[in-house]
Amino acid sequence: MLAAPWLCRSCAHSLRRSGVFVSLQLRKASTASQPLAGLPPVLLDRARKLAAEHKQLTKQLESEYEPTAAKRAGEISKVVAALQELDKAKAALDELNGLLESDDAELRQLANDDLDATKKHLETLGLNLSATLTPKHPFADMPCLIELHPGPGGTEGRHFADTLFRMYQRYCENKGYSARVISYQEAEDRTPGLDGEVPISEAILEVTDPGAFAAFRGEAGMHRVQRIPATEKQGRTHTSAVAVWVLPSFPENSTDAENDFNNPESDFYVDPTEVKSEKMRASGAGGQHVNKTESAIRLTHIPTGIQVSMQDSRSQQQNRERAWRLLRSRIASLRREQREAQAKDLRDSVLSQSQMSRGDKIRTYNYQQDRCTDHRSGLDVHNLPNVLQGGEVLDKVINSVQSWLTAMDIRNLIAQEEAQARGAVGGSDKKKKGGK
Amino acid sequence: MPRIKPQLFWQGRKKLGLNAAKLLPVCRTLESTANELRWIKQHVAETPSIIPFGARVWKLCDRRGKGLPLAYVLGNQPFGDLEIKCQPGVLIPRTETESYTIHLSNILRHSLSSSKSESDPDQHQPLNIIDLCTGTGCIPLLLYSQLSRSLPLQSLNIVGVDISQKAINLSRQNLHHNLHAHRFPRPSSPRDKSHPQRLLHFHKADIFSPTSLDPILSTPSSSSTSSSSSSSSSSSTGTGEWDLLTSNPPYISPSGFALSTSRSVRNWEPKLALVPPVERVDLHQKHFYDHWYYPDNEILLQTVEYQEEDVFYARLLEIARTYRPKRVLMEVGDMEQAKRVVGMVLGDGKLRGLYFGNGEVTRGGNERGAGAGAVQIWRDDLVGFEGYEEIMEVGVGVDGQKQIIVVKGHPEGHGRSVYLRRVGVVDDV
Repeated sequence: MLAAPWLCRSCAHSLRRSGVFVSLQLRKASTASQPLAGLPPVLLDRARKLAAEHKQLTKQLESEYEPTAAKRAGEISKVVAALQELDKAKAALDELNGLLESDDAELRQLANDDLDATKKHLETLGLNLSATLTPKHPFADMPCLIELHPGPGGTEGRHFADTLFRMYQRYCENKGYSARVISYQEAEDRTPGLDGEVPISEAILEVTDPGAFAAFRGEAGMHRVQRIPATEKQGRTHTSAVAVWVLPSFPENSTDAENDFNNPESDFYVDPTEVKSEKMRASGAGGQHVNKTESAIRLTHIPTGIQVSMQDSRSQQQNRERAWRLLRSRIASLRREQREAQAKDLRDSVLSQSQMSRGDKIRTYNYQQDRCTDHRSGLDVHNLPNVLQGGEVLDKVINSVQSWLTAMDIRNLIAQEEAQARGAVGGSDKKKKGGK
Repeated sequence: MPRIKPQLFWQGRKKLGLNAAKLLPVCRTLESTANELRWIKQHVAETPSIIPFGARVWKLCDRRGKGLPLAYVLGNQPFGDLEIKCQPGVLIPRTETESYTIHLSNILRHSLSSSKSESDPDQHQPLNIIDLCTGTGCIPLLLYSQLSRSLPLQSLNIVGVDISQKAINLSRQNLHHNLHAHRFPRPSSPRDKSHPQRLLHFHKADIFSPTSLDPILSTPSSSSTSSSSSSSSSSSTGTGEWDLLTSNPPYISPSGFALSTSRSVRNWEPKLALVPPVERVDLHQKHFYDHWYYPDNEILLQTVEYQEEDVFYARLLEIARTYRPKRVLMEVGDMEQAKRVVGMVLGDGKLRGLYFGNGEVTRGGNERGAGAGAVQIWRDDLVGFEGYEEIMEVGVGVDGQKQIIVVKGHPEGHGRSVYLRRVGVVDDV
């Protein structure tokens, strides 16, 4: 199948001249070209910059000792070491490549033998470097909750929410993650959609593997769908959207979690006195007097106004546990967002608006064109059925977003550091704590 | 009860189907109808049968629509992480009971694991727990499940007692049902000397009859060696104490039964488990006079006059006085009844000495001078709201003075249970 819709040559030519095409290709460039050992260019740039800084610092330290500079040098020495090794390996590879073109057959043979090993070595070194450079998300090691909320737009969005829900479920199956359904709320009207979709008003999937948050955090945002709905009589294409939230959660029964829940410093700490719990409590004496089946739990966090309700299970205990977990996760993610916003304020002057917020559309699923486009990484893939089955094509999309996110994180970090540096030059010694 | 709008019926029929119209008179709101319908469908889908799906759903909705409690219709009720089977004739486990049972198991877990780390591990000494008026066996089973998971090395000896043979049969069924579903480890048999030794037994006994109850109560560690409670072998060490006595006795007054219970409770659940029978009140008072009318026990005589719905508490406290369990938990109907029970404890010199001590209470800390006793009232909604605590004055005392006790749980909850902790026992939450 063609990678893009067919375009006649003259149109393509004029497009190229007008610059539209060029810009499209440029947008792709961040993920498409990976020049050295699978490293994104931003990373390498940053490593070089840090190396230069390290050089300068050591020179400065030779002449006179200064604790802050020494600390900074210590911090980045790891990166510099990794970079040096990488450079060395690269030089070795270049040499080998040179040898390959030599006339001596024996030498060529030797170089050929070594080439693979060196390449592999280079790859691991590249990974090493990116690990030292990439800022790690504080929730990266956690399991996550994937929440789906259909956007305004009636039944169509609700139908598509069901499809997305099943897509993530199957994706987890394919990738070997263990996922379970926390909440699955069918909407009240029950018109069936395409392929047996059921309209849902909310659904929550929990992926219990540690590190799931890092794997899925790129999925948060508005997912847009363009298709002819099952309910459409006149064959018009509709556009609707589903909001996906990805929240960090805690593994069950972990002692870490308990410590964190009770630690006021933690993002997950919720003061129970700030939570209002609504139950069918008002009526009657309860206990043996009634045998209600009402097991719904509604929790409201008063300071933030976050409201959580759970009524899936017959067991109130289970509903309550789930509601608390969800509330904790939402509050933690809100706190994190607030801190990120603060950090963003700090660097806003440096970096243009490239931050994706919850409200931006991040991906489009177009049924007519059999296409799925991620608007951040700029990746266009076809074979939509495979995407919706959670197959390898979806994996490709998610991976592209992952690398985009990493690059963004690094770029943000650089911008932040620059802003901080300028702030320091400006005279204020106040160091703001970075969000990353 | 307000009339249900006809509009709601056709809305329900349109959105949820014909079954909804059957459920609506019982459920009263569309939301709860949708939930119950979903649970019924889930149940039918999970239990295979040759009868077609739709017919079974229709049948169950029909029965539910006649007011039968959902737990009897489906035959089970979730309780903590267990599934408790329910049959007409045995009280359905309530969510309030679930809530305090979980809190109780947390208390036991924390206090045991903290004391174990300090002193030498003496886990051969089992944790002795007895539940009177056990019904479906939900409290012993949930405690067993929670404790065997959170304290994997601890020996347990848990006993459930009920007067009704139906309840005892059902509680044994529940044990096997949850065992087959692998919700908790199998209890060890008495001959099995492996460690940890976990025992879980249910006995039929009338708690007002000393001849049938005393053998079960007197030797916690050996009572389980014989399933027939009449022959209490004194071969093993009889030094064991009861660590916990729990009970969810009948506590509704006859007038309350007519007025404040919901229709499905009144019509379908056993009155035996809800209202203390009048003859039992007479019997108990007679028993009281026979056994406790000593000259030095006059204080006790003053408190013999209790309301008839409190008769089980009088008997439970009598048991507590004799066997001195380390902790006692009794479910009560509301805050008034809780206060009356607290009054019964404080009005009795011996119980007061056992469980109240000198009655120092400081706000905030669980532990005011380690080892002081505790008389507490717990409200609904303890789990998740452990931080809430308030101080309440209770009017009755030996000298007629006001006494201060702690009330735990979310302030909007009803008073649900009375918790007693013996002087010298430490809770570490």
